[in-house]
Amino acid sequence: MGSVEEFSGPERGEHVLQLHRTEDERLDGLTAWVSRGLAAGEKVICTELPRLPAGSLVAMLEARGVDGAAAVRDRRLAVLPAEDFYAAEGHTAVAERALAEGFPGVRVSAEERAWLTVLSPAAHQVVERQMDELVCTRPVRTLCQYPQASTTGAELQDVVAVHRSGVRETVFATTRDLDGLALHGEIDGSNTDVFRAVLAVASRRASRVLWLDLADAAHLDAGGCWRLDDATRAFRAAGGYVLLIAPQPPVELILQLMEVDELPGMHLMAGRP
Amino acid sequence: MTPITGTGPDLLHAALLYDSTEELAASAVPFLAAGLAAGDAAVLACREGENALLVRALDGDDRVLVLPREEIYVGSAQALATYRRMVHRQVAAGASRIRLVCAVVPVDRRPWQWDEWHRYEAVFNAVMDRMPLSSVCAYDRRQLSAGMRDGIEETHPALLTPGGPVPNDRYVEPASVLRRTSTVSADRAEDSPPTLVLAGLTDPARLPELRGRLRAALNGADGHGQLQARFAAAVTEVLGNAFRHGAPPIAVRLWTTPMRLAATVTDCGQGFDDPLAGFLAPGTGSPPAGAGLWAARQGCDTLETFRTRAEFTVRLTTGLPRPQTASALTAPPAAEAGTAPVDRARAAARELARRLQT
Repeated sequence: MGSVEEFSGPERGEHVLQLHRTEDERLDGLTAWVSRGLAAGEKVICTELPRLPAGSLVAMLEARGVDGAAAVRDRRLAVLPAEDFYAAEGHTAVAERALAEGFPGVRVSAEERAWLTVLSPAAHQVVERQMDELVCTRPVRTLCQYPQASTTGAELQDVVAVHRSGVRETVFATTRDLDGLALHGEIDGSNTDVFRAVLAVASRRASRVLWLDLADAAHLDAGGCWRLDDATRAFRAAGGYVLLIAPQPPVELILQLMEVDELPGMHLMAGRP
Repeated sequence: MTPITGTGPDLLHAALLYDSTEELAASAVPFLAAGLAAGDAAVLACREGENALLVRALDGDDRVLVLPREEIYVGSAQALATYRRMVHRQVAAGASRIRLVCAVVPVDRRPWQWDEWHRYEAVFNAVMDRMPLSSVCAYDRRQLSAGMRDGIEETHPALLTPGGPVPNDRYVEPASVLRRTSTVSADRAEDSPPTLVLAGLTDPARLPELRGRLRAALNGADGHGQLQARFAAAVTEVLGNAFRHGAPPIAVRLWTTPMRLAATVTDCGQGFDDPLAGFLAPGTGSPPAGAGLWAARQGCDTLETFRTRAEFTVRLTTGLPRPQTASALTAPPAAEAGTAPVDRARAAARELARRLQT
């Protein structure tokens, strides 16, 4: 969901997972994210694979209307090879150095293909967890780009688990706020695996109440309803409660048609008088 | 005939044919009284006078639950869902078995309406199978044609007599009934030009856009908000299924008339041939088979499938009430402006979460 707005969570920064289906979709999402950072006066740091100049990230940004060259010249944008970004001093030092330059915030973006050239998957998971901690206290926004087609199963759940601020997919996104988890966009057969991973991770984290704000979810299909049941079943069986809050009428309707509101431990809060 | 007890774990679905209210009471009251004595839940879904008669005959037993029948019979799938929910709730409340008596009034004798009811009675056996329910459908014999009576007898595995339920040897398996009964209504919406045609669809990434266009087209059918929303949900589920399980190109055609909503979703795949598809609760697989069709059947009056050599079509219809009753029956609650409902839902959720956390 490349165009999803950024939401203020409980952290100072943000650590977001972006799942893309195509390279164009990845670049569209990245361009919007870079543009927002530059507009806010933040330092933007991106990693990329070695490319010919015509295929560089700066050229891609230029092609999408961002004056990347000027931003690089002014040191507002830095495009680093993965080996530099993941150097021994670590990404935290890279972010801290940018903040020390006087920027009010730092944006860091990386894509899976780049970090896999210098890190093992296990080592990168450690980096992701460190990043997840960093954004709690520092004004750092990170966007980690994974291909949706090959990020599946247990790996998908692991990746979702280390991105505390949420997930963005083509038509579906999640954000976290003080109350819990908010769902945005449309949940259908194209992203039910992502939806399930989000729910499974959220269920593991919730103590007794899993808060799902549905006010900005425009569509949920029958398969998604089943995932909602399946992914939270163990949590509810162990005494947990799932609150389905403020669903839009089409979502409320499908929850009722699929009898989700009848499931033990599931509470539908529609907000009508 | 040998009485059957109806006390096992599975469904008992019996017809009660009566010629007077005294005959109705003579069979229904002992049936309900035996259930109450055994600790079963007793539920009525008859007309007001019949409910009152039966409650009086049961000495006003306050354990008898009366359902508002006009809210149940708004469509086959919805009626089935209502009864499933009722059984789940009664079981959750501690009942080991539910005894239900509903008096059926076939007031509209237009053939397609009776056919749909006939199909509902057949499907009831499959949908409610394995549920701890003893359900009696009471029919006033004086209001039945010979054909209706045949239909009732072939869709009820048991008959209720003053001596209790007995097996009915004229019962026919639901799938057989469904295969030979018509679902085509006399006033076909498809005889008029379609309101919306979405053809040549090959890219599932367009689904959000297509859902939006379907909802927008249905929003033009004034005065039937809740029925439109249900129908939109049904069509979008079938469309999603076509992309997921069918073969492109896919076409959707939508008709909205003052009397009816209709839609066809056609793909170039093999489809399936199962008249009970979507009537049975979704399976337990991952993902569960039939979840989309189950939801689609809940959202419309009729859903039927056709296969040709090259195409598979799902046809959905929903009848619309006459204008003078439409607002009372189908208008959604007046929409509130702004974010008030959302804010209220969040406030209520915070309060509930606080209580649940402690």
